[in-house]
Formats: sequence, C-alpha cells, structure tokens
Amino acid sequence: MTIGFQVLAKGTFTGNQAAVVFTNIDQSYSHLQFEITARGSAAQTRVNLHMNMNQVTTGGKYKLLGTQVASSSSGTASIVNDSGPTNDPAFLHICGNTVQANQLTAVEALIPNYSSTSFTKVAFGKSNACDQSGSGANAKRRYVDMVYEDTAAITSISWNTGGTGYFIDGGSYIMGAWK
Amino acid sequence: MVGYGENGSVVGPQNLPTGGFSGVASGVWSLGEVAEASRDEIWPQPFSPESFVAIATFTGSSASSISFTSIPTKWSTLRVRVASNTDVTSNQHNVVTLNGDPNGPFNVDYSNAYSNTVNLYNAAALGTEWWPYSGNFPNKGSDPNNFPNSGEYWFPNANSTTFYKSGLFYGNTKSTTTYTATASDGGVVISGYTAEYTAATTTITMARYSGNWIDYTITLFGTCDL
Repeated sequence: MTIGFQVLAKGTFTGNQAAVVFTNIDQSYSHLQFEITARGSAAQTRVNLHMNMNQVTTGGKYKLLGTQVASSSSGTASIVNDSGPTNDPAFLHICGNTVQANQLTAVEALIPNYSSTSFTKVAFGKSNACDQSGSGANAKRRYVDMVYEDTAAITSISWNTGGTGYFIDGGSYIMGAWK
Repeated sequence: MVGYGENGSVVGPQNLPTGGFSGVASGVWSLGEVAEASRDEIWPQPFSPESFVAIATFTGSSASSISFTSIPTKWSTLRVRVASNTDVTSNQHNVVTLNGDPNGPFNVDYSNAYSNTVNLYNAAALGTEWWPYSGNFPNKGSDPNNFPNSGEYWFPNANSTTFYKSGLFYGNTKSTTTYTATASDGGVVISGYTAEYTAATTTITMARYSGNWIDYTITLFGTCDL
C-alpha cells in the first residue's frame, strides 16, 4: 500500500470541453485533492466553476460559505463574506475570456473523507485572482467551504462551467488522493 | 552450482548499486546484500512521477537568498514550503523571481489579516511589481525563536509553455503574543500573483528584500507530470 499522495487522473482541456468528469473514483484513499488551471470561454471577467458531487447538479444539498478578497489599485481592502450561492454547486471562480490574454486561474480543492458512508461531505477550495494586472475588481481570491449534505460515498465528480461556455484549451487538471 | 531451495555464494566482481529514482543495480545480488543496500538507501527506487515529491531543500542558519535551478519541467505543479525566522523587523518581504528575471512582468496583490479583531491590510494590485511575490513573511518577533513562521508558495501549471504563470501564497506572520489590532501583531497572509510570461518555470529564486532568513528550511516539491 502506498502511503502519501498519488495522482489518480490528469489531463489537459481540449476540444472546447464544458466539463471534466471523474468517474469510478477509487474508494481506498482518505482524501481527494484537485488542482486545476482553467480559463472560461465566456466573454466576461469571471465564470462560476461548478463542482458536482456524484454529478448532482441542482438541489438543496450544496451549502457554501465563501470569503472573497479583492485588492484595489488604491490598496483599499475589499473583503466579502457571503453565504452563497447556497443550494448551488457553483464553488469557485475562474477567469473569463475578457481578462488579459494567456491568463489562467489556479484552483485547488480538498475533499476529506470522501469515501465515508456515514457523514455529510465537506470540501474546501480556493482560487486565485482572475487578472492582477487589471483593476481591483478583477483581482480576487476566493476561499470557499462547501457542505454537500449527503452521506453517500463520492464516486464521481464533475467540474464544469455550469452551462456558461467552456474551458479554453490548454488548461490542466489533476485529481489526486492522499492515503 | 546449487540447486532449488539451496543457498549459494555469489561469485564475480563486486557490484555497487546506485540509489534514487535513476539508480541501477546490475549483476547478481543476494537477498542479504539487497536488504543492506536498501537499508543504506543506495538501492534503486521505483520511479513514481505522479507522487508529491520533495525535489530539493535548503537549510541553514542564515541566508539572504536561495535559488532552485534546473527544475525539471516534468512537474506540472511546484510548491515551495518555507519555515524560517528573520533578523529584521521591517521590510520582511520575500522577493521571489521566476526564471531569473527580477524586472519581469509580475503582478501581485496580497492581504494580511491580523490580531483578534477583523482587520485587514490590503496591498494594491500592482501592474509591474518588482518584488513579484511579497507579503510580510516571515516577521521578526520579540523572541524570534518562538515564531518560526511558515508558508507555502503554490505554482500550478509551472511547466506550461502556453499560459502565464498564476498561483497563490498563504502563510503566517505571527510575531507576538499580544493583540493590539495593528499589523505588527502578525497574522494570516494570503497573496495572489501572476507572472506574465509563458515559458516553463525552471528557476525559482527567493531573496530577502532586507535581512536574512534565520534557521530556515525551504523545500521545493513537485507533483505529477502531464
């Protein structure tokens, strides 16, 4: 048995993918970890990045508490603690296609105890600023706690743009696990 | 010649193995010698490129800069974890440059949350920040031995040759046990950055804006190869 971190799946976004779906996730590990670099195709500053546990896309099982920090050009603090969107798997942000060229957003998420059949699932994720060369409104870091109110083991996960465009080709994703 | 189930001596010239991921052990080996070589960490190890691997570590009592060079581009994600004190009480920034370009097009913004009240110091989103990765880290306290601050620089997509390099830092700057609702109390530091070039990251240099790291351990980790 290998102790430590192992990459279970990896790849790059190609062919205007609107989602990357991990299925038949090995249940023998303790925690899942995702690392994603992505940019959305939508002509907007930011695109919601959805994480669908067991590919459940809607409903009241998703509860989020997010903190969003932005820096303005004047150095003024802007921090938003919000509760939402609740009942929505919109988890983190990635930059849209109106920010500077070649910019990707870095995303990391951890899902401890994903294989449990006794407890509600929790996840922690963070994403970095969309465009630090732009105005403060674009330079946002987001830290989100998610509760997925279901005790079923997580055997599949979809990361997607929630129907708003697709992932620009060339971004990458890794699903790893800790044992 | 010995038969099945019998143990015999290994004859021939001495073979010396080399350890690590690229190690080799040619010739004929007895199980005892294999066990001894494994114990001495000179036996070849199975290469697991998809693991979370420590690539290099700098440790010492004092240094003003370190540099990870010739970083293999097989790693898609790089992390630098730092635990250190410092010998200055101001200008504690770490000047982090990628690929040896101190004047490169880096952009950074950071926030420092401190004390036991909700306070936040927030720095500007800078267009051409010349210390590309800042933050008050680490910070010298009244008794620095009690405050070995730590943090992690995260560089995903480091081997991309298509996109800008984008990532995060998080760490702590706790420097005192008092809570006076001022930035000097220390606290959580989070920072985002973008290095605006598409070349793969093969060198990471971390220098002090002023002073030195004291009693430091700085380790570069790699994850996966896409």
